[in-house]
Amino acid sequence: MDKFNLDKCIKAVAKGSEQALKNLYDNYKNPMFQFALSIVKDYDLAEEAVQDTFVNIISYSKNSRIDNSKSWLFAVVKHQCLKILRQEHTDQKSPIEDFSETLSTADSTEIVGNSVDDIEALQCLDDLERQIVTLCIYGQLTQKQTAQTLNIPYMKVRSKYNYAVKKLRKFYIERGRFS
Amino acid sequence: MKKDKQVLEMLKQDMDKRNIPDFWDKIQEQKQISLPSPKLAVHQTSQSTNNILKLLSIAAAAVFIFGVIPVIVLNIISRFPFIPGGQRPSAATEKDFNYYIVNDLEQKQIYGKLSPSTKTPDELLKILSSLEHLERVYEDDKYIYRFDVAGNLTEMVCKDCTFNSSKNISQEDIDKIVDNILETYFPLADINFTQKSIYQDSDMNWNIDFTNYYSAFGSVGIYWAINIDLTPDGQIIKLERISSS
Repeated sequence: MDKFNLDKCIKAVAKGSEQALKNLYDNYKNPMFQFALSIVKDYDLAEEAVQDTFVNIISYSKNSRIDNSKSWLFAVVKHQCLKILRQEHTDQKSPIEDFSETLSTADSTEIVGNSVDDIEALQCLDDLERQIVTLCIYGQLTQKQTAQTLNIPYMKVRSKYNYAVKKLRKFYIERGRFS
Repeated sequence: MKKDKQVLEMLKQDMDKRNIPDFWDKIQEQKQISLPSPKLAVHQTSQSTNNILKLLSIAAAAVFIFGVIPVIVLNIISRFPFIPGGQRPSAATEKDFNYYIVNDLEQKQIYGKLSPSTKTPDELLKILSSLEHLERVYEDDKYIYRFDVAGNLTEMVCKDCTFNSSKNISQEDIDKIVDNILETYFPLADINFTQKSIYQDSDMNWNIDFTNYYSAFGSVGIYWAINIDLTPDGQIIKLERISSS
């Protein structure tokens, strides 16, 4: 992924390059899917969110001012995830009190559909911590970029990141995988 | 490899085991379906542009009516504390918290001139890590401080984090700064930590993490920990003391 230049790729996608779109898919499908799964917690919905991102990314990239390609790309994924979750709730006729773009509360994404929580280590994290570590691992975003992507204060990211790492360390120590 | 990175690497190994499907063909199909019919394309474009303009003007009117006007009204009301609903919830008054402790802290000249924070709980939630002890949140000109019932500092966060950190100091100097911080803000603490970690993150800020773990009944817990975030030249961005959990 080091040789792949995301900035150039996004610019080429904005111009309608199919090859650039395929390159983006090959290089970023997995990170985007992992991030989407951290939000929607359902394989089918995560696939739908990432699919929608790729289908609409040409128009999004033309109409957006992109300061940082990585933050922007994951922010688009987040936006798609929220759209899908809103739609799922509307279809199930469940009341939503506040479904803002800010995923800052632990229970902001209710589990819908066939939810899967397949990674035991992630079960010790709350929703926001899960999203932050996923962006750190797969998006390789800095904490400032993570704050931009998730639209939450930088300080919150730092706190949540520290808590998440502590919880994970404790989890792996208890299982003898970390000394 | 730094211990935080080791932990995340382990998590990545677990997450890499997920079976992520290939859906490039589905993307291509969906793109074909979403392409407009050529005959209607021109008419649809002008119609959709008109619709968009109408929606935008309705949205702007709604924002003004339901957003701007209530904010103006609430601001006016909040100036009159005796009108129901006009009281701006404040975190603390000097009478609520032990006034003696605050004065004592100021006398030690650790803190600036402390005053109870005027930020609302919602504003504080965006800055602080939790809503505990909101009645003991104080501010000086640079930082927001949260204390526990005994007057011990639990959290310290910069208010306006625009530091001019042009120079990057050495780890040796950071070690000295950290020792000074611990001595200043936690003079009575037993600082024999079982785990210490000092490293620079991708933003070039220093992350300092001192933790005391305890082990009881076969499980491991955190007794207490101190997290300190410093700018590249050693100014405090954030400081947090975490008690046992």
